[in-house]
Amino acid sequence: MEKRETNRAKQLSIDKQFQKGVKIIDVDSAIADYMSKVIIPNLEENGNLLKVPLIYGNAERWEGARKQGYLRDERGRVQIPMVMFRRSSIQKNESMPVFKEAGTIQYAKKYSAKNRYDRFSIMTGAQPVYEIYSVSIPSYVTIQYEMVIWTSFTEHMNVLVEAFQNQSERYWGMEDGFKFKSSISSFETSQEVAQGAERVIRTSFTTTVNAYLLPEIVNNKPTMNKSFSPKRVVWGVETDLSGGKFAGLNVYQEYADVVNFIAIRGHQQAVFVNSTTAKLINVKQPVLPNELIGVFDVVNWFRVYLNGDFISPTYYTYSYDGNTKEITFTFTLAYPIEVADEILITGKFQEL
Amino acid sequence: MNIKLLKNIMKEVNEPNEYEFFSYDLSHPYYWIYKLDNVRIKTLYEPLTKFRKTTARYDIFINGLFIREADYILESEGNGLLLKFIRSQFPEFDRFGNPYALTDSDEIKITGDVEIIK
Repeated sequence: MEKRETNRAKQLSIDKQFQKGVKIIDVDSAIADYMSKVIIPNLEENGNLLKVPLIYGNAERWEGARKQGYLRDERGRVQIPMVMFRRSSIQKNESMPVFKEAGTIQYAKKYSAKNRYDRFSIMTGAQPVYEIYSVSIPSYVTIQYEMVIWTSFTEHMNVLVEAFQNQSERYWGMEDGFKFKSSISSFETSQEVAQGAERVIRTSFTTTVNAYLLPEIVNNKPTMNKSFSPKRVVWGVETDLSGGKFAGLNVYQEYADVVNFIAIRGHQQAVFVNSTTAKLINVKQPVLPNELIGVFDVVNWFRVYLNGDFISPTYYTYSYDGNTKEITFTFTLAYPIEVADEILITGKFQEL
Repeated sequence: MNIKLLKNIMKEVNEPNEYEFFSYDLSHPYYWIYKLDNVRIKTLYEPLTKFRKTTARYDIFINGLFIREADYILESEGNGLLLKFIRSQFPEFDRFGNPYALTDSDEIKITGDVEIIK
């Protein structure tokens, strides 16, 4: 059985209040709650305040109301006054095209329980943590609600229509919940007085709500993720002797002094100076690195050949002049050096 | 770069080898030519080329005598090295008064940054 790969760092708990998406019932509830608590006023009838009920028109109620022109309660009485609504359609909002996979909407919550009682951060220079919530892009839709108002008197209907008209082009929703922009285009009012029946004033209208929908889970992944901002960024120095990790920086640069010294090797014909002296010109004698002191054979720093024959280091001394960039060899041979002699020198010097 | 490459650099600059040439064409009008098969000049880590010029990477000896670079031409040919001693750079006669010439019996050696091709 394959073990599921998990990253414990990403397994952050999200409070339940942030876990929900935006469902259709949320939109319905927001609209209904706003109408009930804000829009629909109490009506005055014979000096008494009359509360206007709001009900959702399910299929049976809606059909009954449409056929009879009004709704009756369980006792058979006509329910007046009353407001009934039902959701009739959901359409894609063409004015809000979004590419949902493109990114997320992020919200940073400044307060975090992780920052409580944290005085240690003053010494360490750590910054307060922000809780970052990343929310997927929702689907923007247009939801239409059909609404019907029934009253017994035109005065009552006027009050209700005025109240709804006043709330057109406003954001309907609960104070601490979702809010959606709603608009009402027109009201259609009719008076129905049938023989042997009650007088009913009816007004129907359509409310268009610009809403957005976001499921809680898509493809087994939550549409909202939680993360924390970094408390502190620490820059460190790391040396990797195994290579590979830092392709640019290398061991050669770290040991360049030693490696360069070992690599230095010159080959030049010395210039005759006099019968005991010859010199290399335009050269540089390197300094023996500390790491090689006691290891490198300084006696054989140079190999001197006179007419092809090797001259032992015991037969000469040398000195380097950094200003003139010359190495002067003074020989103590049993015979003098002549102009025609070939003095070839190899060894630890750099040809410039 | 890793330790392995550092070891390679050390092999390139700190492990000289010595090989002997054999005669290839001694009747050439301008050169005495010797050849060494299956040997090449080692590669050199590029940042180090300024510290060790090509002519300083190997020494040529004839019977133990060091030969200056102006007296020969060293070329690569196939899988080997071709060493051409320039006749005009050598004395016309030897110390016994005989015409100077290199022969099969002369010991021609190269020492330095050379290696066998594996």
